[in-house]
Amino acid sequence: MRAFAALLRKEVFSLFVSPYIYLLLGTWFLLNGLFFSFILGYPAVEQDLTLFPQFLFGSGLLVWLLLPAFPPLLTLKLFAEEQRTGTLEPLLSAPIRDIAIVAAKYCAAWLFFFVFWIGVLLLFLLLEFHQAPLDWARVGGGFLGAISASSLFLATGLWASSWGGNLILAAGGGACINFLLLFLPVLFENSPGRVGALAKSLHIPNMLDRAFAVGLFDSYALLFFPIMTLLFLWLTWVRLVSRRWVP
Amino acid sequence: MNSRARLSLLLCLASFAGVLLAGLLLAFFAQPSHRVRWDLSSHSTQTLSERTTRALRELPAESRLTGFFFQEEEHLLRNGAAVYPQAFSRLRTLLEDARIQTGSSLTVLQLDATTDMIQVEAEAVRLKREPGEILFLESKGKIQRLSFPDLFVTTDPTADGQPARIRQEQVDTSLGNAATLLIQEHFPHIWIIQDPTVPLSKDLFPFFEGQGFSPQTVQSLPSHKEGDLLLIPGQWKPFLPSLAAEVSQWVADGHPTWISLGFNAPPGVVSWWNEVLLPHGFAFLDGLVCEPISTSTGSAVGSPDCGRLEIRPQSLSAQHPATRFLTSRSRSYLFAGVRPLDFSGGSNDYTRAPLVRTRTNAWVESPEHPDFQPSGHEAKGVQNLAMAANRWDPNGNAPGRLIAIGTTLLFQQDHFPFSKDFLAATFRWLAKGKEGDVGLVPLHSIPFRPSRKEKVRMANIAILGIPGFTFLFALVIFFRRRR
Repeated sequence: MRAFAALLRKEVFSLFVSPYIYLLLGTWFLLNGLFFSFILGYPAVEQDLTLFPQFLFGSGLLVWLLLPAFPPLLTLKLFAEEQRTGTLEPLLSAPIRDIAIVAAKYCAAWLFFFVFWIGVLLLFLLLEFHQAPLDWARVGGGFLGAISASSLFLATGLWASSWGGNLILAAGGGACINFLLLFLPVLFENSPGRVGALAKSLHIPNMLDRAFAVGLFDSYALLFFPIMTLLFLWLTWVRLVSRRWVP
Repeated sequence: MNSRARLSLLLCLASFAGVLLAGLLLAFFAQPSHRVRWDLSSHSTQTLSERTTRALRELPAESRLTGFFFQEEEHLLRNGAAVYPQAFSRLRTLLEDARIQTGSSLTVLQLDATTDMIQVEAEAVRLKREPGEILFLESKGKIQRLSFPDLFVTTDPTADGQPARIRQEQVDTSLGNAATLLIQEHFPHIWIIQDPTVPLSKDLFPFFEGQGFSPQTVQSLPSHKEGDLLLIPGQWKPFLPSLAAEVSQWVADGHPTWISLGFNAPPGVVSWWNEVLLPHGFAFLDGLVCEPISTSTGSAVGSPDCGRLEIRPQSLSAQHPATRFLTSRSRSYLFAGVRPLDFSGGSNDYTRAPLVRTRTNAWVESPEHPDFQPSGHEAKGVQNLAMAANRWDPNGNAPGRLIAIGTTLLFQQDHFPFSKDFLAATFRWLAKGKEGDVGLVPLHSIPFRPSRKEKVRMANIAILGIPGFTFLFALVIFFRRRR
């Protein structure tokens, strides 16, 4: 546990002192600020502000563009950089369990991505400051859904980062998986039979748009993201420990 | 096996084990019985009621619920109205709830602008969709259709720039009613007593079937069940005594009835019906209702075309449930060869109301000496073209609904395509007379219109302030690390 805490501290520190990460954060805030201002000027939202969380967290570009693309950019260095610079082998041979390494790196990325969301929360506080009558259950639901989805996308990014020492492969692979997770269910949701049913049960935008962002908390959606996140963390762990399986 | 192949195999096996476990867990938690939904929104209306969920669950396997989410009514889009975004947001959420609550027994299909248009077109053709129809609930070949006004009550946009708004919605109740109707073994019949000399449109029967009725032409009234309707789409000869007695008894018993008599119906038939309708409090009058024809040079009279009346939405009753929803649609109807109706006598058992009226410049042309222009002795002013009555009963046990209309052309080939939504709305009212609770619930909107100054301030903070500060921080860290 002590080793985990030390590694987590190290990873968080390395993220917080990286200018690249702040550049990423600034771009995230800028794009979210643009979406925020655009959606706020949309006539339907002016008529009914309860639609705002759905437009931002449910069906907007935040979900379709930013959410799948940014987490892999944050996680790309976590394993790929270590492999590239040759520091992964010493880390794996250090007296720390592999699962703790994966957990520490994931938690560090998750904690830093939380800062990404705090910036978006500031936009809602800005609205509140201007006496906007917000439905906080919907806003809270939207945030919970978006944070859950970003947790999953961080896990896929971490997995992609564990593939090798190529940073482009790590970022591109992670983003690719995330876009597939978003788009594949959409493509097949109207298919007949089991394919359609499976697509609907894996439909992330629907979970965000028709549950979280309307203030509806569904036990399946609440469990879907942690289970999928654990699956990708498991795959990351398998990828790491598999180095030891074969002499 | 070399070490690389062994590594790949082990990797695949371990990964597969993880995927399998995750899949099993998700499949378990996706079951409706293992699923809980907490509605924490401010008005807690994002899930279907227990009644509707139960009715949907009772539908046989392979039932389908299809939603068409297209913005079709132009007046609901004017002045930046939020009607469609609000409505479709609710419908999507509730349809998703229906899918989740019913498990695999109900296939839910949501079609919108992002769906493959070939699939949308195929579904629209298969379901014989009319514009404005939003939801289709199908089970074992039977269909219930719900149009936008069945689901939402809206206000119109105003001339001073106010957009249309949703005042109330009844999605849950309408869906529950549709499911309840489908699980009933009995599908309401429309018994049609057809005069062979009054040809009906060949599309009429498929239309009624699409509306959830079972139409059948009869020569005498068969044994009927609750909810069956009687339609007389025009009559040229008196009924045989036995049939006359049956029809008279049917109406007196308060069963749903639609009677159409055109301007040229024989006097004997008209007087017989006026006797039957005496308790209802209205009667067919003689004559042909005419209105001046609108031309590019103004109003014109003197032509037989005066008998072709353009019925604008404002001419329909905005109070009566049968026509209330049609008034918000910006389309006119064509009524031709119309005989007027008027209040006459009646008992206190029935409430009565005009459904369709003319404009103030109408007159009743005398059939003896038609000159198609208002003369001194002819009745002038607003004329009633269709009237509805329903029996007043506090317990709602005997709806006694009846519609009398002074034209038969609505059911005939040329005019039928333009009367479909009028017929659908009025027949729905006739058939669903027992549904006292319409289930209207208010839909709360929270308008927020910041001033221009506030908007600019918010945009400055969101686009320049927060990102700018972060970029500055990145720059500081960059230079500190370089040092």
